[in-house]
Amino acid sequence: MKSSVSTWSRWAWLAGLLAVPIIIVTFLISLTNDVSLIQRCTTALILMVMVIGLHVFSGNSGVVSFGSVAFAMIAAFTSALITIPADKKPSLFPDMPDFLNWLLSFTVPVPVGILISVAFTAVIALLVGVPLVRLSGLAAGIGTLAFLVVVQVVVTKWKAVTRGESTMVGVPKETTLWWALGAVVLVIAIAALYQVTRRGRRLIATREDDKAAMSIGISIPIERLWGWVASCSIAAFGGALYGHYIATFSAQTFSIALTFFIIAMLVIGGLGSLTGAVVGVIVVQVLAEVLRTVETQGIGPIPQIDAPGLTEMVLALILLLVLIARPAGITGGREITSWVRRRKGNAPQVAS
Amino acid sequence: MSLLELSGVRICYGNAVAVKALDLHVDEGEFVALIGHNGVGKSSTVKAIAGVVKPTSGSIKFEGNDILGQQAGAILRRGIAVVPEGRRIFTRLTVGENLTVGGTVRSDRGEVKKSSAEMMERFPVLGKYADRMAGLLSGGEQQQLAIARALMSKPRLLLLDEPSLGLAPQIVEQVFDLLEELRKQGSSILLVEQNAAQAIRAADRYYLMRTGGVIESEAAGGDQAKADQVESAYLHFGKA
Repeated sequence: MKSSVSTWSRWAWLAGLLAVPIIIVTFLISLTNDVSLIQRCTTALILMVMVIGLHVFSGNSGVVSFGSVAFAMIAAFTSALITIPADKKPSLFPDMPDFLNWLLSFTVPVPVGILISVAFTAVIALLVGVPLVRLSGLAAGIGTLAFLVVVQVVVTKWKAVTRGESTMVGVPKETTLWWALGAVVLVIAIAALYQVTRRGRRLIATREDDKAAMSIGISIPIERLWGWVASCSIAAFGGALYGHYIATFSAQTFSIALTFFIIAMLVIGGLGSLTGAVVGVIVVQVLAEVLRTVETQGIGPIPQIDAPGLTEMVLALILLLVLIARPAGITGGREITSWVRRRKGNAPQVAS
Repeated sequence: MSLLELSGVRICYGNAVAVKALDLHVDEGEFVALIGHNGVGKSSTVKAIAGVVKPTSGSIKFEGNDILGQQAGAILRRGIAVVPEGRRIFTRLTVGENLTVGGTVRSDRGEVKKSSAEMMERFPVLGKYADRMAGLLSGGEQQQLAIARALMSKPRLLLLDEPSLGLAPQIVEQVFDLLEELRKQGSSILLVEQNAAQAIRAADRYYLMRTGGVIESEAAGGDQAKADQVESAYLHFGKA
């Protein structure tokens, strides 16, 4: 009798098959010394962190969240507030409220700032999550979208702390290509581990059939809450890294447009699998790159098409096409490991 | 004392009465069938026992304790596992994962893996396809998985809702053989079925339900003649 493949080996296969090609490609890109290419690769890797974050909740639970960018924003601003050099703070935040004045007196190294901001965001995610995880479908979507709007309004209007519409400046710019790569590898490992262990499987079970999940004693709110907090923390990690990458940002940086971009990546890649999250980011980023090049200078035989907004328009069309022709996304919601297994000759039996 | 005892159970959905007054009991180690047509209140009875719907009156006792009105999770922890109608396995989890999530309510987490291995021995087809997505199994294999998943919670009573529904006759035979095997191994079973003849043949006792209540209750125990007789009478109801 064939014994069940161990959890660890499944984790290693899934994480390895996804991370290794990314590591190789990133190394190759770093060898080109093309500054602009390296920048785009870094951005793509940071976006991948956020998309994987969204996948951990939405992909595994089947409940779409529009709120992950809100957590990225909270973390980016939190990390900025505690890592901007203390001597610059008084001039940047002259109206800091008294109860937050202690923030002006110190500064922490960026890695510590990122850690603290992720932990702080996780606490907020837990508080917001308690009511949100009881919602499903449209209600959950609207609930998370409402949270994003609330955070946006607070960040835009609370000028004394967030500098409002004037951008956050003086944020240490420390995120490099290697930091972004390390972050991606780390979150792939975490997301894969979550998926192959007990907690993640229970959340997937609630996605597959909520009533059957309840019939075997799975608590849907509890499993969703675990996934939600993990997901928001990963999105926060991506947000904090992004903040330390672009160094000047405002609430507009973490807009609804970014939310839809991230969701589009996940949907195009395939909602429901970690592989889909990774593939979605790569496909959309490469495509966006090609389209932008066409917009600005043309590629090979294709002349320059001077049509601002071409990229967004074509991406939106592709999203529509994917939704119509392949609702489960490019990967069909499958993991890379299932293809590898099939290639090895263990063809699946046709279900009756 | 009976393992499960329902007395005077009445289930209503708004003004509609699904079950008028149901008395039923299952003893330790017994295989009891609850048969009846579509819409006579069989599934409502299952839901009431499992804690999914709350009866308007009557009592449901399990091992002497009143479980009426308790949450589904609490009833499962007490030892009543349900194999839901339509199998409802998790198609995009592997067979092995379906089994391990079946052990969710168990406190002895370390033992869940061992139980899962035992299930794969007991149901060889599940062992063979342990790493395959459950959705790729055939209907009969999925039914075995649904039963094995329910057994993972180490129930004192297994409640099956129409396990033969949508399966080919040959596969139905296999499912009933499996239930008899489980009974021999000491499991207590309450089977809710439309497939009357087969259920009566397999069970120790049966209850025949007709719109809202039990109209006949007898020992069956492999009595072919009795099974055929009830089935023809029972089919006659359908035509009436």
